[in-house]
Amino acid sequence: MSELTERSEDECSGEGDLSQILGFIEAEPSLSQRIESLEAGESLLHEADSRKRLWLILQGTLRLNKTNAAGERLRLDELGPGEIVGILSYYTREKSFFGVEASTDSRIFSISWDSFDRLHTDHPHLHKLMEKRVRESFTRRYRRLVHLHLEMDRLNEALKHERSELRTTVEELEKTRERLVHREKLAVLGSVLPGIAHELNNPTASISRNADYLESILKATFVDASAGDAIERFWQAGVKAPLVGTTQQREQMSKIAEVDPATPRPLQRRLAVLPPELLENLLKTIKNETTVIRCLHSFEAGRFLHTLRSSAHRIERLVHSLKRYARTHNEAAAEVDLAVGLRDTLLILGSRLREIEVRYEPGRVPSVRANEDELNQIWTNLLTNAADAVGDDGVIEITLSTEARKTLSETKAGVLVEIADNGPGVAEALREKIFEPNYTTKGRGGNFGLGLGLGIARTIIERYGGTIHVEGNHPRGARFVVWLPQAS
Amino acid sequence: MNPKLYILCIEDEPEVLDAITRDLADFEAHFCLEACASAEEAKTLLNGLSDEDSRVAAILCDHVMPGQRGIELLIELTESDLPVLKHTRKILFTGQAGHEDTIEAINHGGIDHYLAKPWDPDKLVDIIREQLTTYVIQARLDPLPLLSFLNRERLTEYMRKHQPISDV
Repeated sequence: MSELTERSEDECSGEGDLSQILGFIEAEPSLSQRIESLEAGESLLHEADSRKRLWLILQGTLRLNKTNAAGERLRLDELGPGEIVGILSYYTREKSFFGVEASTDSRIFSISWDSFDRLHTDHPHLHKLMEKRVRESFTRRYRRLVHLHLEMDRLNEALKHERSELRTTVEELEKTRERLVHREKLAVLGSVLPGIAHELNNPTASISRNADYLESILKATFVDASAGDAIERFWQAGVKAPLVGTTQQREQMSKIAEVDPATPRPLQRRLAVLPPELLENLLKTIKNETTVIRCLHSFEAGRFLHTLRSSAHRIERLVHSLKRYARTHNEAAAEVDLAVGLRDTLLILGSRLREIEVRYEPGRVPSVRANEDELNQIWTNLLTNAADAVGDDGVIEITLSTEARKTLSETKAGVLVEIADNGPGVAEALREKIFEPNYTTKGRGGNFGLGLGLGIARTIIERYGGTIHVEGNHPRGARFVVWLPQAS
Repeated sequence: MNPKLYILCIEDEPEVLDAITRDLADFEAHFCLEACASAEEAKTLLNGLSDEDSRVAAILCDHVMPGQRGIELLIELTESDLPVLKHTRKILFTGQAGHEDTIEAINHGGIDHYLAKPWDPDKLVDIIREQLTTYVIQARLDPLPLLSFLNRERLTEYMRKHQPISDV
């Protein structure tokens, strides 16, 4: 709270009046006997008392109190020498509005309402002086009221400001908490990943091995000496050939239906995944159902083996990526060929990037000094970001070149990796923001990428003395540009 | 005479698509199974069907696919007024869908069933059988030829209550 006692400019004249009044009272025994003393803390008047008196403060200060709705006693004002207590009750004839107590040892001149009224006739001069004191007391208190209003307004403003700051702080704290929880989850995930990877490796290896065993047994079963070339060709096609697409499958189904309308649809469908030349071959012999089924079985056995193996391989690659993701990066830096790293990353991301046209012409560039896994994770991150950004007819273009960069003291040779896409691009205002830690455009929860955040990517690249930034890609899309100094 | 009834399977991974169609092969006695590798292909196929006396009884659709995702496709199909799609049962089939996606699917996609990968073939056949039974009832088809093939109990119950009048 600010200053409770405000003294105004009429203080001086007040003091003059007071000494005149005092002289008057002291000279008049009937008046001077009404001078009372109060000790500090002593109560003069309680709220709602009905004392029917006025008091002029001669010395010391008195405090005005008022009880609020919560039952607490608030200090409202302090009155000093020359001020009059009890004016409100005197004019309204109501019970005391305030409680009054001495805040210091004080002397007061006490006068009943009746005597005060009689002053007019008994002591006209004193009456005049006293009335002036009353007026001035009112004036001061009114001024103080206005000041209090102003002060209240200022405090309200300050409170409003503080409240909005508080709200921002709470929001910030909530965000931070969410980030911490998210980070904690990732940390837990990181710590269990190697274990999970290990547990996954065993069954995966067993699938691969068993597929190998099955291959020799199945091959011996189907491709025996009596079977001849045809069966072996179907077997080989199954083991090696990719499945035909659904459109082609549909075309081949109608072709089969034309040749032999009696072929049941499920059988049509099974036959329709055969490579065209083998199907052609089979359609000629379609009257001999046993042969057809035998060829088809041979093909399918091979294909199931192939699927089994490629699925196991997919799990292996996934486990491998997970292990890399969870690994702590304390391995030493070595000379790294960026072309090889980019090629590996593209290989691992194969399925993620199918449907997207990836243009990459690996050239020969000098080595850089870095940890290869870390760099690969950065490429993974940039490429999956690009893959997420592009829609239909997505194109990602990777360029590898050399670029020397001048600093104040020297010129450094370096390697430039540019990854450009034709997605919606990165808004100008966000081009720095996306490198801040924990910045993401992806939804919360389920999205667990294999790459690292761009923030971490920048930290890693800067640790190797390099730079990363993003620019627009003409005519549309984003172009991430990474520069790393050449190994000396 | 019932119209020609189709079951559409949409899945981008050829091996998985192949496995689903194999699991559902028995339905081909009465339904024509069509396999599509993408939402686009499915739409082309559906547009090709619209002139004939054909109806799509059920769509089984993967969610995570390149291009248009499963839920988006099902929402689009729900909003379209192709006559072949009247009463079509829609089954979302996925190994990965977030909570929000699921809510969206239920609220806007008109999804009738949600099936998680990997699936149990017997369960898949049961689910499709129930959905097809519901289709036959809702589309007011003649249940007689399908009695032994779909849910006999529900179809008999339906026949007791309604004189079959075609509504497709």
